[in-house]
Amino acid sequence: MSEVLEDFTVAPGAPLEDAPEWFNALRAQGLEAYNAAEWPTRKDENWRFGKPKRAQIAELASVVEEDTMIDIEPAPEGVIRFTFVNGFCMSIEGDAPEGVVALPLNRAIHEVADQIEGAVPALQGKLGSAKLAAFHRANLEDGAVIYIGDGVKLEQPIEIVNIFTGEGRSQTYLHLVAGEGASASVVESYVSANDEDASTVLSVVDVQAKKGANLTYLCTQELNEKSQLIRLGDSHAGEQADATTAVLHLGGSWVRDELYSTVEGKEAQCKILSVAVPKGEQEFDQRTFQHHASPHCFSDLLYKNALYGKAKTVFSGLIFVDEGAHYTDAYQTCRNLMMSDSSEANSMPGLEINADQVKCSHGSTSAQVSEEEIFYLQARGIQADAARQMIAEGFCADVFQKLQNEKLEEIAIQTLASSF
Amino acid sequence: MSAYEMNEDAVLDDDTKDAIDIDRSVGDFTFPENHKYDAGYGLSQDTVNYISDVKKEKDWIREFRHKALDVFNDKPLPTNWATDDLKNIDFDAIRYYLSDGQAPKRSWDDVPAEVLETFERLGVPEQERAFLAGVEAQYDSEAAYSNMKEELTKKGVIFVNSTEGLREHEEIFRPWFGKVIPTGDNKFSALNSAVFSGGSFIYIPKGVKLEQPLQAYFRINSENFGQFERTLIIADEGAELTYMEGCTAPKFETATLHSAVVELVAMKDAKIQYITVQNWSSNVFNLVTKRGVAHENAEIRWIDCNIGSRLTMKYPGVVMKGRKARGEVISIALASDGQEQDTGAKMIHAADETTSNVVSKSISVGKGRSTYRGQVHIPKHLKGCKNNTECDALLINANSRTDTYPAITVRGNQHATQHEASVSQVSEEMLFYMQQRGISEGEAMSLAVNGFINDLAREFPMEYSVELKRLIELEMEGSVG
Amino acid sequence: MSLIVNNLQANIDDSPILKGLNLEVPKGEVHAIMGPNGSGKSTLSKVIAGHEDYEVTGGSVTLDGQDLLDMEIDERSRAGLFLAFQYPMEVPGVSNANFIRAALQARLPKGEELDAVAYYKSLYEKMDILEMDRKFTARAVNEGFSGGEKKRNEILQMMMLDPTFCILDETDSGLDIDALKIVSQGVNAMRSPERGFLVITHYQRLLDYIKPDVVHVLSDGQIVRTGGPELAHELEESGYDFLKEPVTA
Repeated sequence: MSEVLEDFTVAPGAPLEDAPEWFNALRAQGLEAYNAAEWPTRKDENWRFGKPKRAQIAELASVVEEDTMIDIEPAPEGVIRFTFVNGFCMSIEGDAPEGVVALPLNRAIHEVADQIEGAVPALQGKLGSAKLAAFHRANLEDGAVIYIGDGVKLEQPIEIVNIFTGEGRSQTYLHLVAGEGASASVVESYVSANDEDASTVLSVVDVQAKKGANLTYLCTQELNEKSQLIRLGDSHAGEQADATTAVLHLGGSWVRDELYSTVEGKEAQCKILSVAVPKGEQEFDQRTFQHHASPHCFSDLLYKNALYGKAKTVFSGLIFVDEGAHYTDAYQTCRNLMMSDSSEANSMPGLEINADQVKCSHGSTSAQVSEEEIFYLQARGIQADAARQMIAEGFCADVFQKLQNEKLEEIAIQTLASSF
Repeated sequence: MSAYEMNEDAVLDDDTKDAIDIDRSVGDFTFPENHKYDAGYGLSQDTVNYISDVKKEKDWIREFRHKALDVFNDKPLPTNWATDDLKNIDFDAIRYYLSDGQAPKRSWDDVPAEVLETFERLGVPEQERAFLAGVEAQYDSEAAYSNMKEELTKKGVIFVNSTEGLREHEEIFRPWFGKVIPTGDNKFSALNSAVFSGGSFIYIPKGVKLEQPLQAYFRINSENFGQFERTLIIADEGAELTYMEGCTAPKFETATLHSAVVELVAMKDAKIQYITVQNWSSNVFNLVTKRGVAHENAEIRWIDCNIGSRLTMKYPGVVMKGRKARGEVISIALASDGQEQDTGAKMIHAADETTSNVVSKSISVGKGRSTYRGQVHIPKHLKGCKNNTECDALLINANSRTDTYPAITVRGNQHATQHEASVSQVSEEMLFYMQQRGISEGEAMSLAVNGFINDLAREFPMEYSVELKRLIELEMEGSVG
Repeated sequence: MSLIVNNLQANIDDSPILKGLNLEVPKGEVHAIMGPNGSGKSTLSKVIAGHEDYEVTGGSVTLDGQDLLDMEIDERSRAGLFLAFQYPMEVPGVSNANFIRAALQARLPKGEELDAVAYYKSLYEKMDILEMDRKFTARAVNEGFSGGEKKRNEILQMMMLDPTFCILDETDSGLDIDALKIVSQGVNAMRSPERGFLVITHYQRLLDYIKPDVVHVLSDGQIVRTGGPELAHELEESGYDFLKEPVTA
């Protein structure tokens, strides 16, 4: 059986049958870049405190596709929902309204070829994972493609559900573009089909907000504790655009999350949010880059970690202000709430400023729940343990208010609740 | 043209430049070389043997040097995180030991005329008379003058150079020598360990509290020279001292290297305050390793001001080894055109209830670049550790640059760390406000810059240094004394 | 001899704000300028003081015959012009006493030092008039000051620098009634036949305490009406609505 299935597996960089030439060229370029790039090492500053060895996932066999019956409730009326299993699109529910494209990549490259050709951004992994980004590109086959047309305003969030099953490696891809003056929100979730299978997931996410667009993207990650995830994100906000990206990491034994956010064009702004609640021996390694490419832009990053058990987190963030990007307004905050005596938080908040008339600040704190807070709740009749949990949950939930999107906030807070 | 660009020239006028420029001319003079001993150019086993021979060192020191040389040769330059400018150091074009073969004098009257004139121009004898408990004045590789108040000798205080310290007081210094900063800590600590000469070895006996500071002044007179002083200060239980160092060099055409190692040991309840005003000329690579160990309830404070050099890399550290030990780094850096001040702090918590504090302020002028690198480490199974770090950067011009790279590791839930950093500039509105009161633009800028570092500048003794006085004068120009 | 503004035109980012403004304030008089938001009141004060955001495209401003527009900001100050800011700036790390001393020192010929004893004596006297605590001398300029404290500090600087012409830009904004009284007392104490005042305000309230000799109404970058103190009361009652109607002589 497996021998037959292997015939379906396309080698990295090899052309896909039926795919247009330009797309196969992308895959070939990916392979070339993969071969040229080095695996990250401990000496790489981008992997300080990290586990570069775990990034070497190319050796792992890709997951063998199975006919899995995934039982999920149908999407409510009016909701567009993609469902992917191991990175391959199983279904799309709901109808895309006028001006909106919501297609799996393998259809998009045919049906909206003129839109997508040339729109796939250059390779990512600038924060230490260039080899992985190239590997992803060389294997690019399916994914979610979403275009919100100029001026289109979507009320209902578009949903993407990623389900992983079986042992081995798989990859996902999201290509999300909000056109000029468009307004939309997208929520993507990662879940494991069961608690046993050790999945290795390599994800690439491209988020672009064109001139004057307003785009909010939330990712909730609840993989099982045997799985690992490498997620390489790239967000770009153009002139007067407002791009918000948020992530909630709860699952996975090891998660590496890189996010490169660019604000480019007058009054572009972005908000970058994250909440992570690692427990047991989970290790979350997050790297961010706030790139101010032009004057008069705004970016604000807030990462919060609540660490339990022997959990370990790494946060490395850099605000980078290009030469000439004057009047930059950039903020970066990482806060660690230490919930156990064996947890470990590493913070590296960085600034590189090459411009003038800049307002930049960063802050990083590590602390435990204060005794006064617990006392206050106890005085209201709440038990100490429950009080501690309540405070930790509040500490995390607070981040999602900054989404300024009630539906996404509700989803995030509901997902978060499962962890407390 | 944007509003910003139009204002750029205004901000950059000569008045402004003058007002914020630091006067380095005071150290910019040189005398003809007069060396009895010269290890020659380049670094080899012969160089190390030459130094050891001149100093008539014991075998264990000679071996220490040779091992260090091997480590130095094996270690790559740290350019994976530090500036590529390090590659411009030509280790073969440097002389590693220069001295006139004279023992340090106890009286300025016995110091050779040119050397005396050097230190007089730098104001050292005057300061000694005014407020110092002891002075050591190093000229190239060795001290030309070393003296301490008699009463301190009677109390058992030792204040000598490294050669004498290891020869005459081996039992005191050897146990700590190279222990706070191991040879292999970094490439430049290895270099220092191979060719060190001069510096201060200090021992303060139990319970002795020095009311006045001890001072060392490091002077480079010769071109194509590397100064590698080695300092080890031990404050025994309950002892207290303030140590200050200053340094200057003439501005040569070629690069000069200064690479010191400074180790501090504060025993139980001891306090050490180490003050540096670094004003090397702009051809000096200043690559210094400084670290202290603080035992139970001891306190080590590094107060550091870097305004000179071409490139400074210096991250003073405190290893808090005993319960309730305290570590502090107060740092001011000024990076002018063509300068890079890469400074920071390392705070290693190794015992319960230890606290550390880092306050760093940098000013980047013109194309100057200032960088803060910090490390805070709180390992497992400790309780009640606290760190507070604040880094503020001020950018003066549009092409000035500042970077901040802290790394904070906390294990466990019984600690509190806090790191805050900000970048700002002297706003045009603030300058307008001050000018409306009749203050010229240059002076307004100077007031603002000095206001920025005002709270930290207070940590430095005012009488102390010519260089810092100049810095403070900028504020004094428009203020009540 | 006086402040004379003649046909003053000024732009910000190429859009005209002052459109041929004429004004004459003789020595010894207090003139008030009132006008709705956006009429150009604050622009006028900043243009006279020399703020670089504003481009003067025409007209002239003279103080006692000296051409102000030709001078740097600090030269105008030393020529006798004082602007009490609507939003006084904070100057971190620079103490109030040092700041005012620097401003006074700048008025002395080169090489001459301000007498510190006399300076503090004078400073404390004036702080007493303004009911300012002595601790304000050591605090950084305006840093952490309340709105009222900042405004008092402006008047303190004014008294110390002894200008020949003062512009008060919305000095009443953010002041409670007690602070308003104290600030006004300070200003009134400075009224003299040798000194002129231009009081810019949105509300008539301030003019109950600082009685103007003449009131001007500014609208769309021009003085549209001039009258006695009664004009301020008229505006208080009927508002600026009359501006919408054609002006009749």
